[in-house]
Amino acid sequence: MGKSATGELARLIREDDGALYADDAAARAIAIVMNLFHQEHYAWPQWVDKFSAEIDAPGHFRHSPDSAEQAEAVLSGDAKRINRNYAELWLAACEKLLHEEGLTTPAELSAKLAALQPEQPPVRAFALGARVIVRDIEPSEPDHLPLFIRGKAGTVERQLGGTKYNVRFTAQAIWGAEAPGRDSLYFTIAHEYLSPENS
Amino acid sequence: MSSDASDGADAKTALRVRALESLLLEKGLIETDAIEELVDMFENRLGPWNGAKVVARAWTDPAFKQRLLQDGTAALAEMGFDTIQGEEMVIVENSPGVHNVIVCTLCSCFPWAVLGLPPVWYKSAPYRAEAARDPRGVLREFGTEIDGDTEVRVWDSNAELRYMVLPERPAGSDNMDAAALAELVTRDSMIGVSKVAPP
Repeated sequence: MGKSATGELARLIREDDGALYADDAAARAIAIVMNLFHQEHYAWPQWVDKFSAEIDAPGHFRHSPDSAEQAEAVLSGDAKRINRNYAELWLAACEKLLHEEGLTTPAELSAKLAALQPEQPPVRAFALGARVIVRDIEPSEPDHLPLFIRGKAGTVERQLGGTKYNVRFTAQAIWGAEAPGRDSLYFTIAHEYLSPENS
Repeated sequence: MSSDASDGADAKTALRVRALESLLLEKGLIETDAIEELVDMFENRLGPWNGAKVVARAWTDPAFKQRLLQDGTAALAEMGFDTIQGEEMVIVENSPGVHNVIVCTLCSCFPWAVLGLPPVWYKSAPYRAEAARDPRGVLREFGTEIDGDTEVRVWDSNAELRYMVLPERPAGSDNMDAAALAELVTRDSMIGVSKVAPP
């Protein structure tokens, strides 16, 4: 601690903009803990015990001084960082207490979290009509990638599920100038086997 | 730390809070209205303006001041500031020879009923460590110089017991009524890191 810690405090005092928590979610986490306390699911000292264990303030916990210093470091730095980390510690303590009190289980909570997880938007690197080249790489099972189209250029005709595309190749692009000029072939190719033509 | 990383952490925490809240709602353990009500309380109804009214009344009503110093919890309840977490309230009075400072060395226990949620520096590692080790140095960071003859008392708040400082009434405020006096009283003066400035 010493000088640098006090310098840090001076900065915190100077930069205090009155924000009492990181964001609305942090306020709701505080409200949840309060609400369940009001309903007597636990006593306040029980909560403080759980929360302070997350903070792990040096000088209060005799075990593992290294981890204590580390934990304490999370409530240092600028105001935004402290409020953000404070919210995380609060939430972690809250989850543990609720599990311990039998109000929730870790499995229920992770299922809920998974259900709320925003769906990852599929990688749509190639627009309809984009010119692409088939990469000359060995596809991973169970994919297939005919040798005769590797290195050949085509046009994205349709976007399919699972980041696959229907790619149209002129017969001449695949077989050469002798092939009929108006004919074409369509292959279903995964995104990872394609690269943009002009790269 | 880049803002991208911190925004990502915020989003992750926010999602975890949503998961917890929606799980507890489903289980009928909490109600949205109660959570909204509490968030509104943090935002709009709890705050140092409550403590300022208490201080102003203590300055102008000697009988109240006596009750306040004897049994803080009861005297605050008299003014409608009921305990929020089942805590006892103790009011410590500053006088020409004594300066009081409050801290929570363990986590962030704070007199919510009169001061609202704690400011960010109160939760920070440097304040919590340094207020105990070098309170005069910490006070200096707040621009508060305590002369060597004055005794400094540091009060460590906890889950069951919270403190509020009754600051000294500033010189030049003799003709002011309680409402005007309350305007002078700052949050920091009731934590004890500063004094009330003369009008």
